[in-house]
Amino acid sequence: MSEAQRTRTIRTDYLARVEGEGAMYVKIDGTEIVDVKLRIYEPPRFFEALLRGRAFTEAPDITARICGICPVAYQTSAVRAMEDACGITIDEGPIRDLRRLLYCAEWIESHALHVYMLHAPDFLGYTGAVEMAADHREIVEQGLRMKKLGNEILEIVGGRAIHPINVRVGGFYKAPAQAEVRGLRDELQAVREIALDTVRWTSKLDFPDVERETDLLVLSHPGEYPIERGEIVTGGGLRFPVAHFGEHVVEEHVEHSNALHARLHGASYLTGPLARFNLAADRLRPVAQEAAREAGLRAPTFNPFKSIIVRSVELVEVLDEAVELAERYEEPDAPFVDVQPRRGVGHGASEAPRGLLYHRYEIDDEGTILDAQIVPPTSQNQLAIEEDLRAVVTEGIDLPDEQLRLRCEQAIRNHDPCISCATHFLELTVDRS
Amino acid sequence: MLRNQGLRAAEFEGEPIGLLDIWEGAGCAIVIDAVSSGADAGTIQRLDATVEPLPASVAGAPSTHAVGLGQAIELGRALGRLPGRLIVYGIEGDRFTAGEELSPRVADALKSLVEQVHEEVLHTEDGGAEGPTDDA
Repeated sequence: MSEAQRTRTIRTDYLARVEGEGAMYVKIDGTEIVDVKLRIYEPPRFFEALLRGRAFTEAPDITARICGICPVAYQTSAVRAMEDACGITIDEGPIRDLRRLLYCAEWIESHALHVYMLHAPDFLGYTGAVEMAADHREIVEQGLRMKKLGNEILEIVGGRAIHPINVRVGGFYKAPAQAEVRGLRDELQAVREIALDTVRWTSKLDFPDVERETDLLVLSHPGEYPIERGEIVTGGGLRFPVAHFGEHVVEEHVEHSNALHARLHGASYLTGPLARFNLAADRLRPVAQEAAREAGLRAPTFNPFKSIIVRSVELVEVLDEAVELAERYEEPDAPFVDVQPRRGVGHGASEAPRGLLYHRYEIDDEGTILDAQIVPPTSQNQLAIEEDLRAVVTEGIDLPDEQLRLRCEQAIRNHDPCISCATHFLELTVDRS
Repeated sequence: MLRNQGLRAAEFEGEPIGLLDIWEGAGCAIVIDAVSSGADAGTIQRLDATVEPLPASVAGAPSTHAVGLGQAIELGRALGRLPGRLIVYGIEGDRFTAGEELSPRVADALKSLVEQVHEEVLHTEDGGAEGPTDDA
């Protein structure tokens, strides 16, 4: 048999329904998987270089531009890093509540987009939300209603729905009116019911039989589900302050990707919904814990396809917390605390919907940024995604190429990768020989 | 400029599924967006999305906002949530660097487009009662 006859290639120009663009390559020799690579070919985005020479107060708005899906994560990690550099901590009170509410809104919007519009079509056998809408109108409408609520909160607290403009180092430029925030309560409660229903139907989807145990990395703060503060903990039992992130996680350039690959003490690890659930399920609010229990979801869960259930549980979590935050909201005396720059280094981390987002800045006495480092969740998850793909291809090696291709795409979407954040994108090639 | 003409206008940025909410109840919606097709700066394209999808070349898939304008329009069509008339105008951009102002050619094109939109609304059957959407 000639080389051309022994090797089959399947190629797609891009992997749809992933934020940004990227490429995937799988090589199979008989029944052995020879190579799996997630390749990045979007030009690198030089935001870290762009930040140098800019004022410390500009970092939240500049970094919010990196991603249209998770701007609040960028803003939050940036302000926390700058406040850390300047010796300020805002961990209690109405400003912290507003930050948490704004972050809840981002999770609502991002998870709703992913669960209903991007991931559900994989499980239900549609090429996308448009095709799914004809048969599952109610599901799509529920997702749209949830997204609309997330947008509304972002507009009220953040000033606008995409790339909020109300966030500043030290707090907010303007505190939202009490009546507007409290007025969100009824819709939040109604949408929380939709989220509970979503946990039920996602738990009944058909999940490929893939289990892949891996190390995990999440924020951790006593008594609360990880979102915008805390130390860092790992599945292997490490616990360290955010400032020590660089001592444990090392980014490396790999030839096949424009994005840096992160390793935790030399090994791959996972950040994001599965990691959060596995290390913090006991800190979910009671209604979310009950929803997970009813859905049969137990920590630890290492089937990456079940991340769609975890996202749905997290939707219950943030909607329930947002109800409480909206109900107790009172306009603060001042919407921000004054933050004076001083020479130093600051670190900030928060849990973007798709995983931990780390920022580090060095500033001078005038507050000018001398150096910036941003480690987005998708670059941290890249190795884990490649290892998932190995497991998925192993499990489905007898599938026809087209079905295997779809399964691989679905496996990548399990992690909701934000390719723009990590400078990636996607095309799929399977070589069988 | 559109508001000065007595039209209802909304600025919208980013994830285009949100346009479905803005279009709710509108008899006619006009989307104005920047395009980059290689044509001369300021070139105006007019596309009628009322009954047909946008051509693939401008549908915007897959964008950094996960769902492109073309997909958002088709989602609206599948759900019966499109306005009675939906026109998309694209203005060929010139400067795409963050923070830069409109180039004079694009600014001039925008002025003439405002007139064109006004005419478009006047000739809409229901008189354009709900006005257009300005997708900034």
